[in-house]
This record gives sequence, C-alpha cells and structure tokens, in this order.
Amino acid sequence: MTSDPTLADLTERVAARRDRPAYGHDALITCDRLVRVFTADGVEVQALQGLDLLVREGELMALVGASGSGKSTLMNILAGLDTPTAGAARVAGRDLLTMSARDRLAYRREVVGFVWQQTSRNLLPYLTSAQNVALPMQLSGRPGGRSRSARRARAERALELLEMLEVADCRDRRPDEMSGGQQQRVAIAVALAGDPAVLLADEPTGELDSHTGEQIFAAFRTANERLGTTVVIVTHDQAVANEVSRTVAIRDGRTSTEVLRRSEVDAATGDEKVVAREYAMLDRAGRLQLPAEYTTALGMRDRVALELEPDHIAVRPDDSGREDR
Amino acid sequence: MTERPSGRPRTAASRVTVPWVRTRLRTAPGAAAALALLVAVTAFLAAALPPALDRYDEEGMRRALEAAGPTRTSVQIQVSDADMYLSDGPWEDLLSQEAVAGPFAKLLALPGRALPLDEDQSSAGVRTTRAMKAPDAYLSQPDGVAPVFHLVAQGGVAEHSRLTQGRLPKAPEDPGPGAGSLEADSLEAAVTTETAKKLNIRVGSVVHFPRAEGDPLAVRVTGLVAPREPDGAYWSALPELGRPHRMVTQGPVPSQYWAGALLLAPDAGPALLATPGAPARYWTLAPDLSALHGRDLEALTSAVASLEGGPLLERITTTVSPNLDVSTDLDDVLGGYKGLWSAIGPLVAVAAFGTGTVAAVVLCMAGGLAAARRRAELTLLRARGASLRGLAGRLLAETVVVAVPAAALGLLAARLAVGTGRPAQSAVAAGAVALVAALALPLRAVAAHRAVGVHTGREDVVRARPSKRRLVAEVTLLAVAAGAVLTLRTRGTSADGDPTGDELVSLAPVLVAVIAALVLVRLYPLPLRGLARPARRMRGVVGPLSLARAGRAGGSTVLPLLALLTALTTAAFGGSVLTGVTDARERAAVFAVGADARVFDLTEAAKGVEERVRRAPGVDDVTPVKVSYSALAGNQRVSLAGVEPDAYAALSSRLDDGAFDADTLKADGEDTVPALGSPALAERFGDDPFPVILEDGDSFTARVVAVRTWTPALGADDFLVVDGSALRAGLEPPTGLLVIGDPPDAAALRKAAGDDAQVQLRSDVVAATVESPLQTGAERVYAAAVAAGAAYAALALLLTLLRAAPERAALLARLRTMGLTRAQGRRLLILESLPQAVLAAVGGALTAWAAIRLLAPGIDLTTVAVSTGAPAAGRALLRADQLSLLVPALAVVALTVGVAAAQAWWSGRRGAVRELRAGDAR
Repeated sequence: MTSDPTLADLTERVAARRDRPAYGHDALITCDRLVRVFTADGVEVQALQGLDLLVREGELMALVGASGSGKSTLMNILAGLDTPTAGAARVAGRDLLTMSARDRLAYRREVVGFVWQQTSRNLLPYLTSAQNVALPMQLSGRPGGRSRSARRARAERALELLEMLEVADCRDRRPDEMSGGQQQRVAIAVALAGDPAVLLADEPTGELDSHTGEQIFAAFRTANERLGTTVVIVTHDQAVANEVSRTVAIRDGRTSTEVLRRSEVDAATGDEKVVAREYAMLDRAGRLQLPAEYTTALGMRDRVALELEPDHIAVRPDDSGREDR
Repeated sequence: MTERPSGRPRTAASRVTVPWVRTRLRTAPGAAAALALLVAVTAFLAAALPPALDRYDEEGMRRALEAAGPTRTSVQIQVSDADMYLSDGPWEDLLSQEAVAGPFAKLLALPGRALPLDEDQSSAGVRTTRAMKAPDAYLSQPDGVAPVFHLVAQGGVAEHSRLTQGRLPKAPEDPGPGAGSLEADSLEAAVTTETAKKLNIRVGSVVHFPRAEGDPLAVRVTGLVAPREPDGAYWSALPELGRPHRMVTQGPVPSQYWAGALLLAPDAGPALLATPGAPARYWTLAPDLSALHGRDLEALTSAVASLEGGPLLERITTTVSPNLDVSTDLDDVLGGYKGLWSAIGPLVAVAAFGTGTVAAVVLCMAGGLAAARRRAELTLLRARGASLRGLAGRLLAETVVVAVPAAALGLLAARLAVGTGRPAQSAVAAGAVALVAALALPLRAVAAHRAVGVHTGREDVVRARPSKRRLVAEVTLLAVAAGAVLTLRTRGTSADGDPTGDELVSLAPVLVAVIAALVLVRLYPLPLRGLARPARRMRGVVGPLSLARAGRAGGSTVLPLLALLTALTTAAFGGSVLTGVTDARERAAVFAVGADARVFDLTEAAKGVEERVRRAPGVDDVTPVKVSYSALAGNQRVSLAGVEPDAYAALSSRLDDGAFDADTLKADGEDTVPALGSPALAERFGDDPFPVILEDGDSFTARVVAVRTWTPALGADDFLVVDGSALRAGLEPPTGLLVIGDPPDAAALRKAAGDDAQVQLRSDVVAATVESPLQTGAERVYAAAVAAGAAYAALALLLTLLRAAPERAALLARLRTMGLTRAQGRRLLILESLPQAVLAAVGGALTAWAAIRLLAPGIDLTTVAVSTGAPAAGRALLRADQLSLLVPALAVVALTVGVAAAQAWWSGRRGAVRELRAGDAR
C-alpha cells in the first residue's frame, strides 16, 4: 500500500481489477453473498446471511449442516424453487435472481435435476420406474416429442439410466413394489433424465439404513463419473464427508468450513491413502469463521490478535485486556 | 439384474411412454367414477329442469284453455247486419252455402302457425242472430216463460253427430231466384237429443215462431242427433247448439226459461231470411289445443291480438266482408294464464338459482378436493419440468374424458325421463355442468401451482393472513352483492310482466348467502382465537385440543360455507313458501266454509238434522246459525246471522279469526240488540242504534258493539251477527250448521243433512283450490329443487370433511400412540367439527331469515295457493317458517357430528400403521 499514487498507477490498478476474472467465473455454481430472509408473523428470519459458495463443473460435493443452518434453503434456491432476497446466484450461466417464469421452467427442465429425502415423494406412485424416468423427458415437450422415434429414444435413455444405476430389473415395477434403496436410485435416474448439468439431492439417504445409503452414494458417484454431472448433496450427516471429495459445512446461513479429500501417495511407503483435511472458508471480504471448538478452547471472545507471518497468519487470543483495564 | 427375454426396444417404447389419461383413469378408477356420477346426476338435474318447466307450463296452459271452454277460446267471426243492408245483390246469395264455405277454407289457413287451428272442430254456417220465442205450449216452460230458439244452418252436422231418430232435415226447395223465400212458411230442423229431452221435443214436433206479418213460421223437427263430441268446439262454441241453456229473465221476479237451437240443413241459410231472427253468416275457428305450447305464449297472444284488431283482421275483412265482428276471449284466457305464470315463475327461479349455485359450488369443491389430494403429485410434476399449460392440459384431458360422457349420459337420461321440451336449454345446462366439472380441477391446480415451490407454511384459519389480492376480490364481491341486495330492498321485488322472473330477485338468496359466507368466514376465527388462550387452562385434554384443531382447520372454507348457506336458504325459503301456500289454502278454505264443515240451505222441514249431524262420526261440535241474506239494516241490504253467543264465540275464537267476547253479544231483553258488524256497517252507523227488518217481517233495533272483518257464518261481506234469542222465532229451526270435527266424515254428514241441505267440507275446498298444473308443477319443481339443494349441501359438507379426513386419521393414530382412548378420540373429532357446523347452521338460519324478510314484500303466494276466482282470503304473505329454518340447520349439525363420529369409529377399527409411517408428512 503506497501513498500518493500517480494517475498512471490508478489507471493500471483499475485495469488490473477489470481484467481480473469475475468471482466464480470458472465455477458451475456461484453463490455470492446470498441472502434469504423469511417473514413469518412479522418476524424476520435470516436463513442465509451472505453465503458464498463455488462449485466447479464435475464436482461431487456435499453440503452439511445442522437443522436450521440454511442448507435446505440454499438447496431450494439452487433448484429454482425459491428466490434469494439479495446477493447473486448463478448456475450454469443462468442468473437465479432475474429468471422469469419461463426461464425457470427451462432451468428446471435442462439444468437441474433433484432428489428429495422422502423416497415416496420422488416418484409418481402410479407409474412404473421406466415411465417415471421417461416422464421428465415427456414433460419437457421437446420438438418431435410425439413421434415414434422420439418415443423410442426416450425409452432407450430411460432404460440406459436404469441400467447404469443398476435398477434395470425394476423398470416395470411401481414404487410401492420396490425397496427404499431401489426407489431412491430410480429417483436419481429420474433426476438425470433431463441430462442436467447439476444434480441436487436433499438428504437422499435420510430414510435409508447406512448400507443402502452407501449404495445410493455409489449411484451418485456413478452418475458423476460416467455422465460428468455435477452433484450437490445436502445432508446433516457428517459421515458423508467420507463419501465425497468435498464437503462444505454451513453454519448460521454461511459456509464455515470445508473438508477436502484427496488420495495421496505416501512418498516413504508408496502406499496410496486418502487424506482429508479441514479448511476454514475465507470469504471475499476476508472474513473467516473459526470453528467453535477452537475458539472456546483458547477462550477467544470479541476479538483476536492477528500476526502475519511469512507463510501463515497467527491468530492469538486477545491480550490487550490487561493493560486496558 | 435380470434381463427380460422380450424384444426390448419396441415393446419398451410403448411401455415407457406414459399414456397419461389412460394411466390416470386406471390408477384412480374410484375418483373417476365418483366424478362421473356427480356430473351425470348434476347434468341430469340441470337438463331435466327445462323440459319439466316446459311440461307443466304446457299442461297448465292446456288446462287453462280447457277450463275456459270452447265458448271462450274459439274465435267467432260473424258478419254484421250492415253487410246485408249495404249489399245490392240478392240477399239469398249472401247466405248461400258457397258464401259460407268459400271464406271458411281461407279463414282456416289465415292465422298460420302462430295460432294453429283445429279444422275438424271449427265450424261455419248461417244462424239467426236474435233468439226467437216459441210459444208452443208443449215445450218445456219451467216458470211459464216460453223458450227461445236460434235457427242454425251449420255445416257438417251429419259428420259431427249420430242420427238417433228420424232423418236429417232438408233445405226447402229453391223457389227460384228472386222469388221471396220470405214466403216460406215451413222449415225442417233437427235437434240434439239433449235439447229434445229438456224441451220436450219429439220427431215430428213443430215449433212455431210468430212473425210480425203473416202466419208464424213453422219448423218441423225431422230428426234427433247425438253429438259425437258434445264438449268439442263444434258443438259448444255456440252456447246453445249442443245443449239447451236455462236462462233467467231480468226484472223484479226472475223466472227461468230455456234457450235452445234448431239445426237446419247446411244449405238452408237463405231460408232463414224468412225468420225474424236477423240471419248472418258466421265462422267459428277453434284453436288446436294440442298444438299450443306455453313457450309460444308471446306469439300466440300477439296472433290473437292481430286477429282481433290487427293485420290479421284486415286480411279477414278483405277475404270475407268489410262488415264483420271478430270476437274471442282467448286473449283474456291467455292473459290470466300469463298472470299465474308470472307469479309462479320467480318462485321457481329462486329454487333453480339456489340449487344451481349449490351444485356449481359442489362441482368446484370436488375439483378443489382432487387438487388438494394430488398436491404432492402435481408439485412433483411441476418440479420435474411440467409447464403450467402442460399440467392444465393433462388435468383437463383427464376430467374431460370423464365429465363429457357423463354429462351426455345425464342429458340423455333427462330427455328420456322427463320430456323433450326445450332441447337447446337442456343441452346448454348439461354442457355448463360438464364445463364446470371439467374446468374445476385444472383451474384450481393452475392457481395452486402457478409458482413452483415447496409449501411449508402453516395454512390454517387462525394464523392465516389471506393475501391482499384476495381481500380486494372478496371486498369487491361483497360490495357487489350488498349493492344488489340494497337495490332489491329499495326497489321492491314486484317484477311485473316478466314471466321468467327477475334475475336479481331470483338471485337474492344466493347474494345474501354470499355476503354471509364472506363475512362469517372472516369473523369466525376471532372467537376461536379468543377462546384458544383461556381453553389452555382447562383441565381436560380433549376440549382445548379440539378447540385448537377447530381453529387450525383448513384455510379455504368460503366455498363449502357458501354452498351450505345457499342450500339452507333455498330450503328454508322453499319450506316457507310451501308452508305459506298450505296456510293460504287452509285460510281460503276456512274463509269459504267458516268451519271444518258447513251444512246450509236447511229447510223448515229438516228438523232433527242438528241432532243427526252431532252424532255423525268425526263431528266434535255443531253450532247452529240462522242466516238471512236479505235483511235490511236501515235501508241497506245485509246478511244477518242469528247465533247462540257462547257457542258462536267459541267457534270464532277457535278459527283464530273473527274472535269476539260472547258477553258483548248477549241480548238481555233490552230494546237495542247488540250486534257484531262488518267494518262498512260500523262506519255507517257508528254507535247509533238502527232498525233491522228481516225477510219474514221480524224487526228489531240493533247497535254495532264489535267490529270484525270476517265472521264464520257469513264471510266478509256486509254482515250483522246478533243473539238468536233476539229473533222472533229464535234459532229454531236453524238454516245452517257450522261443524267442527277432526275431520267430519263427509258421507255421514251428507246422509245426516238429508237431500235438500247442502254440505260443504273444508277439506274438499282445500282440494279444489289447486286447479292448475302450473301450481302443482311449480310446487313439485320447488320441492325437487330443495331436495336436490339439500343433497348437494350434504355432499359439500361431506367433501369438506373428506378433504381433511386423512389428516384427521393421522392425528388420531398419533394421539392414540400417546394414550388417547377411543371415546376421547370420538369426542375430539366431534368437538372439533362442531364450531364449523354450528357456524353453518346459525349462519344458514340467519341468511334464510334475512332472505325471506327481503323477498317477502314482493312475493304474493295467493296466486300460487289459490287459483284466480277462488274466494278472496286476503293476500297470503311469505313468512319465515320456523320449522323450515330450524330443521335444515339442525340437519347440518347432525350430519357433521354423524360423519365425525363415523370417522372416529372407522379409524378406531382400522390399524394405524399407515398413518404412522415415517416420511408421510401430513
């Protein structure tokens, strides 16, 4: 920070800022200071309080958080079922704040697919699995949708999806003739039917036992790997972190921490092992959320002392109090 | 993964693509069948109304025309004297058969379709226009007055009668042109058998008619004919043609004499110039009653008017002769019928509008119920990318496939069952039903799923804050309804002339119900909110819980409440109308009879009748009266009744009209006799005494001590009632007996009264007041409409309860896991449903009362109750009938409680596993 910049300096600085890529330019999902306020009985509840999130294309990630942390709100916003109060949200180049009803419909048809927690609510009870999978393609009413070839194409795709998710044997069964795990995998197939860029899943394993839950995660991985679909899973289950490569935790309407999992080859032994590392999120204003257990452990309150070191920043408890008092 | 052996792509394609309508119908056949049934029944009712109206309209008109008789309904065209005087040709030619038959054919064709004519019963001929006295002594002369005859040369006598004796008459030989047939001294004639019998005429009898100059004209009766249709227009359009009439001379002493007709040969017209009877050609056009329809009333009326003094008359005069009279009472008959129709029309319209509204609401509610039940499914569809139009289209296809055939079936059934009148209106009504039924679900779904979203908010009454847009819409509707009601109130309800009724008047009950429904739905949560807090401190668990639940019941209750209120109002209105009609008939009958039965015209000889009548079965009490219809009070003619004061006072008070205190009437031997008088007499004489002279010479001085508008013995004319002991002969023998009984046995009464006395029963009079099929038809349509309205209201109630049924079942299941007993569950459901039921019941009763108060001034039940011409019993006004108000209201409460109890019982029997399944968030 130099004082007395010349005009040339300023011009240069502005040009540099302009040429800098915009926030989230390379991401599929961009949430920038997203705010959502609910008003009920005259009481305002801030479900999202300036949430920042970037998801790159092809990621398989999970959003975790306690009940009421705002993760479902975020999910609904991303699904196009809710509009944020303020901030910016873009998915696959579409601005979620300014979409018209028509855009929203196209968005639901082409960009996102979703899976809800309740297995029974993802599927129409009176249609077979194959029909359920074909339905979104039918509903989107693409040109030539009624022709024989289009119908055959839809059927082919539906069966392919079912096969990929290993529920092809259920194609002529109705939801009530299937187990919960099968229903949920069919639901994933339904969500994938429109060939969406993003697959959103809200507590997809909430009603399932852990073993079946693992199968479901396997299905998500399959979709992610074979179709390249970006998958965002919302859950309250911290154990999910073991199943996905990136886990973002939401607390009080903001993203707080992030766990990245990657496999590393141990230089010493040559063994491959999976390393999970927890990070704190740093937002664009430079704000940082410290995990509660860290702050309580050191009795940090109100303010902390920061020191910039060559390769890190040290955060220490406030020590100015003694002199002040 | 098991591979299926079948060839995959082809069959799979057909199995994978969803045939929406077929799949839906197969998935929910019950719902589709229920909708089909509802639509079919509603379409049936809607389509049945127009032909039903048409049928009784038609029957009513035909009956009115038949009752009026051919004398009044046929059109008489007669050439006037001037025709004869102004002509220069030979008069005979003017009366020849050709001069009659030629115009006849043209006249028959003239009115065309507007006034269809019955050619067979129409007649034409030449007749004497003045009746001529026949002083022959052998003819029947009841009071010594010679009978009079018309000579009629009417065409077609041979075809319309059967010769029973002798031969048909022949016209006199034509003496040649110009030769005076005036000189003809004898003519031949036939008479009908009835005329012959009454007037003592036989074949071969000669009837003489004196002429101003020369010998009397002798008419020889050559044969007797029996009319084939004595009541048809051919024989009865001219009064005396078929049967002789008893006439009464004018003057101080009325005497009776006969008037009859002698039937000449059809070509004997010119010979009538020899009579002093002023012969003239005439044509009688009889309308074809079977081709007249009530719906053609307007055209018919204008055709008749045109015939009597319009373009048609002009054409008749050019066809026949410039000098002629056209006369008919058909317009009066039609006018009377139209008056009845316009009095009854609004009443029927009230019922039709009310029931129609309730039915429409029920159809909308059925759609709403379906939309609510399928909300999750529709939300999923929307979320998966269904466009609003696509969603509506799919739902519309579903409902259309069900509703249209069902409505067509209902229409067909209605046409088969009720009749074929007014096909266009029937089709429109059934089509409207199909339209409402088909559109209700898609529109409801579109409104609910316009925004795709997750509905998580609480949707109940107490906390619900309806949107501002809805508030504005409701206030607008409220303002419009209130304005309409205000207009109605200030303008009055008497809609003149329009037989279909004033739509605003007919809609009044619905409007009042709309206002009440909107206001009540807004006000209703307030007491619930107020009660919810203190109720929490109650000790029991069921009370506060049910109160809280009642407060949280589903948000939109305006529609069912509107249905209930409208149905209750229509039912109560209908009940009040029917009660009012019955009351009016009873009243009219009481006015006519004065007691349960009356024996009158008792003669001196009929002693002991009173005792015999007293002993007749069913007779409780007999009050003898002595009536004189031509007593003189001052110099005014009045009806006077001598009575036994105590008995008569008791009778009067029992009939709750004309009651008086017996003591005031008792004559205690003073000079002035106290009398009960009619208002006119009281006004004339005031408190002054006045002389009364009876027919038998008895006289006394009377003074009016009490004024009544009506008295049982004499009715409502100018009357005096005095103590019988003041009469010279006392009450012995009485001229009439007023009988109270429950009810008196008619046959026994007649037997006891003897042959000479007449007996009139109130029940007979009541039965006789209902004359026109229009009245009975209106009553029947009203009763049917009220029944249908009640059924729809019950259905609306059931639909409301059904909508919340799964939620209640889940609640009961959950509470039962917490230890709620069955009895508590039952109490909970009943208590929970009570506030709404009571709201509907109280609101319904209030609405009905208000609607009746609003409409009463304009609705005159007298026309519906008693036909025109029945004794005037005062105007029968519409009053709120308590029974009609309370019974439907209580039925609503009973039904609600019954359904709640039934559901509690049913869900108590069933397992609760399904309701407790996790994830089925209800």
